[in-house]
Amino acid sequence: MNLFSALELGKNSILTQQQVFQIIGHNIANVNTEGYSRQVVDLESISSSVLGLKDGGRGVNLAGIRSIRDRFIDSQITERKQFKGYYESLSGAMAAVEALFDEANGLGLSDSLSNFFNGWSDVSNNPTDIPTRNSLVSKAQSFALATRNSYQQLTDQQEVYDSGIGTLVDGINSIANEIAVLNEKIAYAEASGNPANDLLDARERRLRDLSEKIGINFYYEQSNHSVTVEVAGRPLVSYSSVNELSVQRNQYNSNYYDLYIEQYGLPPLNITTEVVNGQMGALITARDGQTVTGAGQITAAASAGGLTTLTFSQAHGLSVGDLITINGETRSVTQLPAGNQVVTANFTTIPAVGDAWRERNGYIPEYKKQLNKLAGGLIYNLNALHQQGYGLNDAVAPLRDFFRMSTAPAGVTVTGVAGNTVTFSAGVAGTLNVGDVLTIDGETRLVSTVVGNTVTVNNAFAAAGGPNWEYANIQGAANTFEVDSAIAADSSLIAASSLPTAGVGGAVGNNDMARQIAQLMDANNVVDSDNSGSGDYGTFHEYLHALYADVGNAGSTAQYEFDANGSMLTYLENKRDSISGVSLDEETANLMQFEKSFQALGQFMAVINQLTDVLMKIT
Amino acid sequence: MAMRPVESTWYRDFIFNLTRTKTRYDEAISQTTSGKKLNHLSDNPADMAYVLTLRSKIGQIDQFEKNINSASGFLGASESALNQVQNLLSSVVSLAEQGASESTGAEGRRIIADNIDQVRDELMNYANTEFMGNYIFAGSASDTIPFVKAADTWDAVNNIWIPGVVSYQGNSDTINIQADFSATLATNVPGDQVFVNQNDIFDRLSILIQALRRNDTAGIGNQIGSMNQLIDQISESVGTIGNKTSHLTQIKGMLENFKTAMQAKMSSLEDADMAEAISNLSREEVALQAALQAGARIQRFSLMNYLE
Repeated sequence: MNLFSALELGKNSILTQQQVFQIIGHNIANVNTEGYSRQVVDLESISSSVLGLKDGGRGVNLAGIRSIRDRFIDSQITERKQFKGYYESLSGAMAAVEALFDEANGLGLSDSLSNFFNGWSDVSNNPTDIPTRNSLVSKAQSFALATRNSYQQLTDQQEVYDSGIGTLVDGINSIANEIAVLNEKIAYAEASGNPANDLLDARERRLRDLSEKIGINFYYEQSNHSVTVEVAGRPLVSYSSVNELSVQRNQYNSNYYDLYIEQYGLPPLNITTEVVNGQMGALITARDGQTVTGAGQITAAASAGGLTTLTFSQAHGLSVGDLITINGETRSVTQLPAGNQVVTANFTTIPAVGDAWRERNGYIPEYKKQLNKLAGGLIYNLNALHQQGYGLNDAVAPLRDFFRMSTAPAGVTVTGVAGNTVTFSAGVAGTLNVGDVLTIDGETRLVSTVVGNTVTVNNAFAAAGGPNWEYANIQGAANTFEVDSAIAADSSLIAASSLPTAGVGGAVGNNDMARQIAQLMDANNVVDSDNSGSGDYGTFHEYLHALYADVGNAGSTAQYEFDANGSMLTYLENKRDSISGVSLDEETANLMQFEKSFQALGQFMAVINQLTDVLMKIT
Repeated sequence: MAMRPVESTWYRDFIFNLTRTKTRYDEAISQTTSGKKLNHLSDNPADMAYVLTLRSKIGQIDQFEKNINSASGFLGASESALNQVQNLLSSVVSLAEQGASESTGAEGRRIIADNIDQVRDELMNYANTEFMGNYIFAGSASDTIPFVKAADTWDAVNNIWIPGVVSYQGNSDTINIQADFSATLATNVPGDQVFVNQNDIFDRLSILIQALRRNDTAGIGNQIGSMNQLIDQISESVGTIGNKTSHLTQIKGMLENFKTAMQAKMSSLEDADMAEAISNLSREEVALQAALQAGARIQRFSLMNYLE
């Protein structure tokens, strides 16, 4: 060894030390970077250049920079994020729904419904008093309005989530593309022998974001260090290629977005019902309900005239408007024939015998359905009584509705009424459905079955009425719920009396009808909850409160799960940081340690320099 | 497991725990300020549904009480009208007794007859009593004046005026109110039942008047007895009304008890126990303070501080 190679040793080592300072600085700078993995340097001594020569080593060299990470914990965090995303969005959605039903402060439907029935009691106390009748009309209108508003606001919520799905798709695609780019960069870097530490961190971060947005499966490829990402079992990212997500409006589901994924060489695949996690899963669940597998299988399917008739192996429990998905195609039920059948709009691919089917459960569509059933129950029960009563100046029963119903389609008349079977002059399937309200000559019934132009009802008709009829659809009943316009304009038409009221001796003071209607508040089995075409569920209030309990339970479950996942994530992230996180004390200690060796190297070089000077002076 | 301490975990723990403590603190504040432990449907869905049901039942009881009050007004008006009718009939009895007396002459009897004829009109006015715009003795034909009088007719044989016939135009319908969850109660006595069906009061008075005008002392004597029957007849109706009123009072008392029990139950479900809520609040306050202080101490001691 000569003095010049000692200087060379010093120079190399100082350069190496400087690189170490850079890494320490990098670590300190990233102390707050989410998902950053601390980096450590591997130093190695440089051995003598020529084997066998006794000239010692040549100082220190940077062998590599490693980032400290535990891929297992990273994966656990990424997986956990999809539940966090799901429950966070879902609890937010449910909180919004809860806010619509502001019952805790006494401003909700429940009190409004009580006021409505108590309004009838007031009229029964003073049937001839017009102000009291007007007050009943306004109570009825405000309950009807509150019902329609609740229904409309639920629809608004669905639309908010629907547009959220569209926005989310853009975010997901851009992250997927970033992951694809990172896959490529990491592969290049690793192939060229450079550690891709920061790129790996960046990719982990994006995986986590992606998982929070939409549930994913992912695995690391050994060959090129890339990560493959799947959504609903279909590749989203594989190495540098991305199968982007897209949305298309589904005319069978209120024109809401269906979610599609690109497939190589095939048309995009509808995966709406298969995404069950992440924010995307939450938005779909809140908007459409939770996807569940329907009972039994398809035993027959036939299409004709733009409609598909499906037969199931057992009772299907579906009602009109429900969504049904078979082989990725989603349709809504339009008719309910008897015998475990449903009719939907045409399926592009006619389902095969033995196919499984999926339906949706709970959440906003269910709440809307329950509001419909509540409104339907009120229309049926109130009108059935009101049709038989007399206003303040009626010599004969005017057969008036209290809640508005729809008039029969033009040209379709009742041609025969026998017991509980009604025959129409034309087919009424699609116009009338199971659970709808049907009134013929003042007799109001619930529809039990519809086959072609024959309808059966829950109770036999007393008279062979017709040809005029009117009806109220149970589906959307809450959306169109309104007081009859003639009554709204003239409260003397309210039928409080059960006896003729016109002329001298007319029973205007009779309050039997008003009293009976007020009593409906306590009547049982007034709501057709199971769509059987006959009332089967509690009182109106009980039904409404059960709806509230559903909303409350969905909200508290989502909140609970969100909290639980939050604790879990915090634990996992702490654990990850305890391995990969930057400790300022550690870095400071390293800084001090390397400062000392840097100073020593400086001194070393100064001494060598002096020695060189000494040698120079000798000459 | 002992973990390698890292700054980021301190901050994460701090924020996570602070959020939790703050949430509990918020809850404690909202319970204390609202006085309720159920502030959202999701706070306790089952209890919430129960509370709402109780609230609707209590509202209904309030309505029943309103119904009862309205019925009581109606019954009270009927009772006081009938009391007046009884008084009038008593005065008729004493007038008739005076008319039957030997010392009263034909002229005197005619004057008494005219008096009683006036009483008869007055009595008809009471039978046509209105309460809040409704005729209370018209059955359910409450806007039909129940009793109308035809013109007096001249009896050419006896040379006297026969008082006009009073006829009933109402109906026999009873008006019922809902007094509680199951009981309905008739709140009226139709005029035909009070004044016509047993004995036609106006007819009887007319017969008495005619006897007085005819100076028919035997006929007058006969009618005095039947006048007492008429008083009994009215008393019967007054009794019926009295029974109803006391029945209503009884139901009202029962409803009050019912309501008190329901309110107690509702309060136990939805009202916060104030002592508990306030002690919760101060506990959460302490916890929040401690958490904030701990947070402020994070990294107070760091090797960095000792670098020269």
